[in-house]
Amino acid sequence: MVLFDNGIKKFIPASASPAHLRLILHELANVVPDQRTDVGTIFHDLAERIKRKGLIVIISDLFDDPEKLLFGLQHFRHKRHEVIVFQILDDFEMRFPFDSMTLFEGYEGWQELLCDPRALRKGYMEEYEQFTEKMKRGCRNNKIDFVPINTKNPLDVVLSAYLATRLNSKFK
Amino acid sequence: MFPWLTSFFANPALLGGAAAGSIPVIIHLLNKQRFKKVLWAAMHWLWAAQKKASRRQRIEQLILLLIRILILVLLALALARPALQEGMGLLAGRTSVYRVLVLDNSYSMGHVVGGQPLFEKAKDLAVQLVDKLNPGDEVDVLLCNNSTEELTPTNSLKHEEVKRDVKAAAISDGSTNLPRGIAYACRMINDRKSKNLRKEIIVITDRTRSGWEIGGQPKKLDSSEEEQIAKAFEDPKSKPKIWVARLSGGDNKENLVAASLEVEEKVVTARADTQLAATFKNVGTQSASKVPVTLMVDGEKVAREEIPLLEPLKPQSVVFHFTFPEAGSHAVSVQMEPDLLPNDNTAFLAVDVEDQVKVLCVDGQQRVTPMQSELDHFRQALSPTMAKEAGAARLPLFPEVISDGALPDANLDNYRLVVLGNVALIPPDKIEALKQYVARGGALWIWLGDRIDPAIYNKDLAALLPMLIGEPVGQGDPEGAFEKLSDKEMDHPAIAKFRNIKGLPMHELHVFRRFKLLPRPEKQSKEKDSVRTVLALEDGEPIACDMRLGEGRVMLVGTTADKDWNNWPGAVGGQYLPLVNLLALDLINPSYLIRNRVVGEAFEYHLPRESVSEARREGIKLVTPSGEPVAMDVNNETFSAVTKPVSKAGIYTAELPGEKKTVVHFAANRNAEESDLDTIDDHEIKAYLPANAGSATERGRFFESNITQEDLELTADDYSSIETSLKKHSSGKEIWRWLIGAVLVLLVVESFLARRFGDYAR
Repeated sequence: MVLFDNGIKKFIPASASPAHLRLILHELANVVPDQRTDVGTIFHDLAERIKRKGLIVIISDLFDDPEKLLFGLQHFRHKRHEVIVFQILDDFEMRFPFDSMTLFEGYEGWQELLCDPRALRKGYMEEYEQFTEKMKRGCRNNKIDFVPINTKNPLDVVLSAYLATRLNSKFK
Repeated sequence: MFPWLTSFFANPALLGGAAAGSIPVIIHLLNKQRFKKVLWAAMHWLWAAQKKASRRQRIEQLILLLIRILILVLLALALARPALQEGMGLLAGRTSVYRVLVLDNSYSMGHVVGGQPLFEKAKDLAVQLVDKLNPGDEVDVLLCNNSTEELTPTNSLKHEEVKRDVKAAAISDGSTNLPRGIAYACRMINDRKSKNLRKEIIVITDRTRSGWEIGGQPKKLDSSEEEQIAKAFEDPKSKPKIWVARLSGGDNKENLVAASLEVEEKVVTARADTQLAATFKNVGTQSASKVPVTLMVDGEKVAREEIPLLEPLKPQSVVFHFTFPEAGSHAVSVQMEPDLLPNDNTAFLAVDVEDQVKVLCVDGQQRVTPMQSELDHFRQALSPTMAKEAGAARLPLFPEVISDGALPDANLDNYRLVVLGNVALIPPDKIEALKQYVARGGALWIWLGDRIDPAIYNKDLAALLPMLIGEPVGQGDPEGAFEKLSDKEMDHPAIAKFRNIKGLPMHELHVFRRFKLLPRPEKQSKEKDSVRTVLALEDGEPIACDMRLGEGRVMLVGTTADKDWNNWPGAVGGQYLPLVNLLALDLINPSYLIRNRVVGEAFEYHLPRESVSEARREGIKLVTPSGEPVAMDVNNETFSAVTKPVSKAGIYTAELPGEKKTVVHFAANRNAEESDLDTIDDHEIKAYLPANAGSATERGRFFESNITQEDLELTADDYSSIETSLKKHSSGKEIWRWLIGAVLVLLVVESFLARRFGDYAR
């Protein structure tokens, strides 16, 4: 398991022991969101670090340049890894339903923005859809599973649906 | 605060609502102050959207803000009801007008100035005021004289028809009451309920004082006219504005007037000398000398006289002597030569000339012995047996004597005077007949005596008695105590004539016995108010009195017609004959008097009962002085034929139905007040109006309502001056409907744009 922001914060090599699972859960429980992410660069770094061919599962909001993201993902594929990308997004981030003056305070070092969100909704949704479309297309071309996940949906349902889809596609 | 605003806005106070235009800006600024904070991860998308939308968004927001401001400002403007003014170039406009023209057509408007009557100039002005109206403007024209009439009752939008009618309008012979004309115009405004915003009353008149004043006081209105004015002026926003254009008659105010024409004796008989008295006035400022006047009878000149000097304010009477050769109705007029106001140079009289005036004497105590019956002396006094032999002047009265027993069969309509002499009992149906007889113009003379029971008379004849009959006074002994008639109490017109006969003192007339005459019990009535003392005793108590009842009169004498209770028939001085004749002639109401009227009044003619049904069947046509026939209304309850109020002066003629084809004349004279061309100044007219609502005037006022000096504007008499004044008070063309329309359109646009700009997207 790898935890990263603008660099790799934690790298836990693969292992099959039960203690290893406890270690991963412990790390996940204690991790704190921090600096701005540079996902593309980190993917390259990781691709070089992981020597054994395996299944790479990326869980991220993917808030980065899609070109860099896809380039990093291609690197994984070049190393013969199988890649699954779970893009985790809040429901508000997917619909942008605000209707009054709002001060948006950014994580990861972004400058805050005071605006009437009704006036920006259209542009925002265009950006979101362009990004998603780009990611879907790039992943499909590289035989990467791209799974957008809305946090309002139960995780077990989403994962079950994905696994069922994956199972079906393996038998075809 | 800003009076000029009222020229542009009907509700200037609501302009403050335009400040509501700042509301969207304030909301915008408040929204910027009030916001919620959100921790947001997808800032890169948000900033990208912001970067992309920043310029467009600002423009869209600005457009929406401006539209919202505009909506509120236009709404406030619409509520303030702005109007585009004349003289505003491309934006020029004028609101629709309801204009009432009050055209004075009284006879003083016949004053010839510059070769044409003022009325022609007034009509030209009226035509121009109609001509300059816009389509959709409404106009009514009123002709104002004694009465006000609508010239074009149903064509207020048909300007061409109104102009045609104005050009055809004729001057009347009536006098003017301009406040009444204004009141009628207010009634038109109230009744018409025109939707046109501007209400204008334009009075076109001359400068004479008589249109505004009577006897130095402002002409007043009745309560219904006051109500119409109060109603029209109750709402300050929709009240009319009054303009008065006064046509100048120039400096020449000289005018001679034939003021009246009367007969000296009311009862005129044929083949007897009749004195016709004409009165002439000079209402100018300079004396006129050698003024010729002509008497016309039945269309022929019969006499000519010359007034040596007719001075201002000194009326002169000219008495013409004329003998009417035949009985019947005659048309008489007196003429002067035409001057600058020719309408008032003729006076008219319709007179009935009679062969004899029949008097019915009902004797309550007839006896065979000569001069012993109750009314023997009275009959002798009315028509002395030996008068012709003695060469005395011809007396017009012709008495017929009957006993009281014959009264029920008598036809009262054949007589001009009915005399009851000591008649004890009168059948109830005859009492009713007597009431109707008097009400229709007959004369009743009641003598009392020993056969009279006061209680019965007071009960049965109550409606006919001027005073109640009280207890008897005196013993009736010619040798005993007596009371003398008063030489001082001689105010009654008939007795006043008696006073002029020298050597006939009243105190020589003694009364030995009489009934006291007591005032009628009712507090007030028309009849009681008309009761006059005819003869009084020295102590002031009345012995004879009279009263008007309907068209006729009743006289009650508290003593006898014969010598039983007084010495009158045998008085030393021979007073009885002239006294009885003067009283009888005064009591008789000549039927022609009600056929002599002033312009503005109606004619009435009492028909013989037997002619009523025939008159209703065949109708009675009255021919006006200009030769037009007018139908008279025949009323079979009052046995009379009546006309509407007449507007032309002169002789009117009617032919009665029946084999005789009797011709009857009627005369209408002008009100002489209108002849006075004395002018009234603008400030004098204004002085009869309060300066402000609720404030007092210096000397009386035209209207009880608060028509102020500001509401009535006096203008010069040329069209351009009037037009300038009208424009000055023009409230312009109202555009609030357009503004409301714009607000609605902007609301739709705002809604559409807000959705399009994503403003309301969720």
